[in-house]
Amino acid sequence: MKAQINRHLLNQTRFDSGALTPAGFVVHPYHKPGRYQADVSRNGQHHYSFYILVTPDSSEMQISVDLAVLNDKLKSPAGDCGCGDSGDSMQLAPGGYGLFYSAADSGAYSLKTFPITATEKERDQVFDSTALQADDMFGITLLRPGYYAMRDIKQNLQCRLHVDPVRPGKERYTPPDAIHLEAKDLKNGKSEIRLMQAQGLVYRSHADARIVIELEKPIEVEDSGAFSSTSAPKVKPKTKTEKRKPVASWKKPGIKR
Amino acid sequence: MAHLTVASSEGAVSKLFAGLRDNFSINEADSVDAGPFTAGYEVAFHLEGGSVDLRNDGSILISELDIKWDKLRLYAGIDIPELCIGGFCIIPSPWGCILRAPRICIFEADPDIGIDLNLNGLLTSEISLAARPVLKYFVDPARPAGMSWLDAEDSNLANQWQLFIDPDWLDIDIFDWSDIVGDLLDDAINSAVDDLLWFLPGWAKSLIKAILGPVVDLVRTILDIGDDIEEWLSDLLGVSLGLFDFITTAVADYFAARYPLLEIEDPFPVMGYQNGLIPIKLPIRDLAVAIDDSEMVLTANVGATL
Repeated sequence: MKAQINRHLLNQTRFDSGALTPAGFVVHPYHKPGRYQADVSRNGQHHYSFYILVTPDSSEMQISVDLAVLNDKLKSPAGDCGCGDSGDSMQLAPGGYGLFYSAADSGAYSLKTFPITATEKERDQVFDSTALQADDMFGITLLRPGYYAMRDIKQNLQCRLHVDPVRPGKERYTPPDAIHLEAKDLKNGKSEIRLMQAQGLVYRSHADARIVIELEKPIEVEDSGAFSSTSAPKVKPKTKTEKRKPVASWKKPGIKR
Repeated sequence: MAHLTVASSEGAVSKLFAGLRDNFSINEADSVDAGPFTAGYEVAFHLEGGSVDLRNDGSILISELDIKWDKLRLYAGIDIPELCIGGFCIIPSPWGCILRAPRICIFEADPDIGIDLNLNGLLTSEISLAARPVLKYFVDPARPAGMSWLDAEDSNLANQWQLFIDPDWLDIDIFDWSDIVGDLLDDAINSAVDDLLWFLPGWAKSLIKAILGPVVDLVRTILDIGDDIEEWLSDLLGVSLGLFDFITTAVADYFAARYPLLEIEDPFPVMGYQNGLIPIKLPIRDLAVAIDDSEMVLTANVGATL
């Protein structure tokens, strides 16, 4: 019996749009064609770079980049980074979205993307996951039930999240549709937003924003224990007098019964 | 007319058969890759009961010969499907989802679980067979060529006439699976999942079980268990694992060639060593056997020389 669990996914209690960990992601729309450089940092230190080519020649409306594994892919001899014909760039259609996340390790990734033609000054005006701008998004899937504080530490706004536990039932659990929030929904703790475990939450930024979500009080859940099937197969009673075909028969060649 | 005639009633043949039956036992294990899962068994069983019926066609019908399971363990190993979160649509459109969240999987590789079913005592099964007597002359391979009958007697290497019952056909019937087998399967599956998730906190176990859905249903689907668990078990043991074919072969081979119903030493001892004289023994020749519905008759001639 084996089970290699993604413990980073289950152990986290703090989520930060500027320091991505498993279950969190940021999204940036790329409207203008061009070649973009993406600088990935981890714990505030530059980690590696890659490129995104936004071109009308591409029909891709979304690229999803796992920042935790892309660096290894870029370094591998096969270079299996999902890059397009340009060799070192992922390709995206104008108006498409770049989605960046970290699935496989403890994370703490941030990134900036900017046109490679941008000047040093212009680089401060492009996508920065530590300072989300209009139409940028931060998404999260909270797994642990409990009470969370959700704060925009740039705008000093906050609200409370209440993640309800789920229990095994007769049907397979499918999380409800994701909840979408905007700045007006963060009312300095006055509002409480209820979610179910594993239900998505997406925050759309309107101005300089950095979203931090922290577990304040977990809801303890006992193991739900054993549960039976909805239609468990049962034994159909039969009697010894009931004539039936043997489960196995052997007969010597040429013998008639 | 034969020099010697020995007749055994049906009751006497039954007692001879009991000795044959009681010396039989099997201990076997096997496993197969059944596609979406692996399965195996460990079995040990012996035989009990059985009624002997002598028939006019010269055969012996043995029915209700119970297979007594000393061990009947069935196990199956299955990969449970990947268990991932996320993947929800962020920006829907009439033409499909424009932007979708990433799917992140809770397990780094598809985990496998082992389901262990101890079916001992839960299965009533029996064998019936028809067999014909077959006489064979056995010379112990350890007996050196040219060894005298007296030396062979002293060395316990005397020749033997052996009477086997050679099956014409053999059936295995399963009459009943205990009605607790269904519960046993539920318990085994829950236990397997708990073993898989033992190190997780309650909220995580609860979430994973909820996402998996009714685990028994899930495993039942993977194992392709239909409405009737008895049919599935019989099919798995009999067809996929070939256990019942193995049993029929083992039992038929045992009766036909491994263990005789009757052994007659040749030359047949009439009187042992006595007063310094060598034993008296009669050489048995032309041994024959016949069966009708009331008795089994052995006839033989006394050989002229040893």
